Amino acid sequence: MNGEYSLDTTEGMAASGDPPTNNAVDDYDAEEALERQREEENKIKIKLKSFEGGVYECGLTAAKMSVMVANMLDALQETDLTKIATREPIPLQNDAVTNKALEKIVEWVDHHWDDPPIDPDFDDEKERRNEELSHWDKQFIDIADQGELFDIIAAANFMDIKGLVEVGAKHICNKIKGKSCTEVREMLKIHNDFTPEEEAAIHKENEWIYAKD
Amino acid sequence: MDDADCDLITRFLRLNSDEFGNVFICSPKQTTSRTHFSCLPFEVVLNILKWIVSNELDLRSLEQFGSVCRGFYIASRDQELWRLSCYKTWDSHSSAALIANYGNNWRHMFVERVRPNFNGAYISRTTYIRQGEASFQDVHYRPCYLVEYYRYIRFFPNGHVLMLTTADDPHQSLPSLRHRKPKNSNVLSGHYRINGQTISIVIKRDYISDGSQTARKYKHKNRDQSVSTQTFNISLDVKTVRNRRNHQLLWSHYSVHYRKPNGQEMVTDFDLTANKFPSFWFSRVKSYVTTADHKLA
Repeated sequence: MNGEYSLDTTEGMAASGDPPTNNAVDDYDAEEALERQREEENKIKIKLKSFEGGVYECGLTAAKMSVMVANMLDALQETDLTKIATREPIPLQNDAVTNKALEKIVEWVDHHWDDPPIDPDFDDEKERRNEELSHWDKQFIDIADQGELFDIIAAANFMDIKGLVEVGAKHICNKIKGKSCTEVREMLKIHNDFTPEEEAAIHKENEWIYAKD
Repeated sequence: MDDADCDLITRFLRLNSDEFGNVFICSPKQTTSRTHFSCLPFEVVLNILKWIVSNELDLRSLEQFGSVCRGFYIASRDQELWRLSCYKTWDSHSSAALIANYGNNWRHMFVERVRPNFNGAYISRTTYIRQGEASFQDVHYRPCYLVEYYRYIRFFPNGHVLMLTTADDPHQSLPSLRHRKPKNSNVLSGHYRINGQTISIVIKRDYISDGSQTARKYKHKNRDQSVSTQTFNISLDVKTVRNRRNHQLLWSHYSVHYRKPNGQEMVTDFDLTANKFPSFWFSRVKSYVTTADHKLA
């Protein structure tokens, strides 16, 4: 009720030609309202269905971190959001979206949907929270089973969850960096398909990195 | 080099395409694992490569990645990665103007155009002999001291540079140049520009005359009275030594501009004799690029 009341007064003031109120305060109120709305919406649970058929529940705001899911929900043109919860599960038609991958993805978006926005201004509290998050991400993505890890990354890419795609890419990067070709082949179980001639040609092209320092 | 590049790329693209013309990354060593790296979409692989190159421009790791298998080779030769790296090394304007000189190949520009190396530091070691005082007891005994000190320069992409002058050897000093914002207060930070074969460095340092907390606190208020500024202007010529690219830096100009608190200004122009200003030699430092903090963008 309070919210509605203050909204009315603001409109009234604008209509009567009064000088505009402090913009910073307005922005802050708008931010607060948006945050409350996101919280409310996340209480609505929607169902996501993996490629293998498993159904997983997920908060609406969290699920919308997937641009693909957000677009599919928009396409439903449902004005009453609570009705979305009772609908059929949303099918995710890509073989990377296995039960395991979807379960992990739901865990990730559920942890991240209320992330503080990345703020270039110095802000201790936000900085601290972001550090905690990156620590959480590191543990989240440190998955021993490579197949599961690649499924999650490919599924996150398919579902267009930018944050998770980056977490996965960074993780794989740090595993590869500083390793020799043989070690990378070993780690990723890759067959060396170069002919000796090709290998020599590439070595010649890459000469600039082999010069002794 | 041009022909060789084209040959390999064309060859591998042909070999690594299915009947629909889609490029695949590689063939698994064993088919036992259900999901393999090769199942990742190509855009995801390119994204991983942007992390590997990172904003520190670790193109050396990219080249190594490209030596793993044909599919990785194709990905590592992606022009976008090399173009972004060129834009971060020089400016986009001059790079775009010069790309025709490199056969429109951004990788060739990055490898061949003069620039500082980013994956290590340049070290210049100066030694001189100082005559000690003759001793009272033995007039024939005059000690000599061998004085040794080092100048270190670390270049970052986008024009940021760190410089350190110290008696500490590389083993002790190099770790303090690891990050853009150094913790060691003796490390000076500044900016540099690449101009043809020459790198020009400008480093500014403020001194607070009495050094007390009060002066620091009111720094802005009575800035003119208590703060003196020292500006180092250094120009270095970049040389490739045999096949080691951008390996040596030769002094071509060094002056220090000193502005006293009362506004008086002094300029010292150094005579760059070879024994006092020996050239810098590049040294790769593995720890500088072992982890990626930000991806290439």
